[in-house]
Amino acid sequence: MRRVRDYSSFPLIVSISAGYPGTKEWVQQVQARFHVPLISGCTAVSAPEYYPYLQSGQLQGLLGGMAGAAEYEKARNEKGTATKGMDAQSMAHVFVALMIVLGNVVQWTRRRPA
Amino acid sequence: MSPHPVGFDTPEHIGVWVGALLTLCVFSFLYKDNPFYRFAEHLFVGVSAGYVIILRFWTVIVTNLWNPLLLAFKGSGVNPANHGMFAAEQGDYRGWLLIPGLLGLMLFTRLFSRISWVSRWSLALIIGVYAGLKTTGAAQADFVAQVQASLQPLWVPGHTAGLGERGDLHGWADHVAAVLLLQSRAQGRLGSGVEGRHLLPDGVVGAGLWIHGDVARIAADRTLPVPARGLAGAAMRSRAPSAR
Repeated sequence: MRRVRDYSSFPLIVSISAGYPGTKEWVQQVQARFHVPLISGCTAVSAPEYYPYLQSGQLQGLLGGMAGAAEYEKARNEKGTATKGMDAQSMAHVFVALMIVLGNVVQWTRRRPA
Repeated sequence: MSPHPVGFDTPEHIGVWVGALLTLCVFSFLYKDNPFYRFAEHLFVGVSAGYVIILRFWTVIVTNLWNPLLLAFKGSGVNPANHGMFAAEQGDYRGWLLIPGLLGLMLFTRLFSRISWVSRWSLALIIGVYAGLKTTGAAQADFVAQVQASLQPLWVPGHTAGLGERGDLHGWADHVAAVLLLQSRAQGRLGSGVEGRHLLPDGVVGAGLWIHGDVARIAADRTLPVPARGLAGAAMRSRAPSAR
């Protein structure tokens, strides 16, 4: 570690994080200042916040939530826990979407005429 | 016999039962406020606070303050050629950690009303340093870099990109729409009836908003600069309530 002076001494920074401080702070405090290649794995809920960084090249790569992990496994031609978990997660998302539609239909049918 | 028996024979099983009961206690609030919910709420707050305190003590105070200070008092630094408690160099601030340690202790003077003013020195430093770091970081990462990413080339020789790719037509559309978007903000909310001299008619600005929204829809999310898209969304949202 004696040759390590600052962040620019590293060829790549990988941030696997959720919450604060996390990827946003790595981009703001490190990547913007030292221009070190930065990739991140984060929770699905925080991924949309980092898309602008990915699009502008401030993030070289982004694994967002279980879907991102499953994509990574697919790229590595490997079937791991993320790929297996996508079935359950997708079913839950479909269920939530159906409940939203159902709730709207019920609300619409109960609406009294003005 | 249940295929997955959960007894009380291991700490993990006991934890599952306690967690399940506490979850039911929390959900009981859906019926109405009750002592079981209050118990779970207070327990959660207390356990969370205790967990964070212990975690911070062992991962911050001990690791980043106590252990380095012990090494500093022994006179050993990162570089063996340098001796002494304050023989600091890049990456070796052990002896100087006395200052943040003292500032941290000063924070606890808030517990004593007569000398509570001492804690303001620590707070002033914390707020000043934090604001300085966040401001420069946000300005560089969220403003300068994002604006740079939005400034796409308007003409690339030999390149005939369509709406689905970066550059050329997309760049032109984006720049025109961005100017119209900014103008819409300068003119106030569209259709709000705000009087004043407008550089462009509301209809032109509105067309720009529509174009930008349409381009965003056509070009999918990887081709349009996100700041401009965010701006378009904000402008649209601000227009929606005033249009009716």
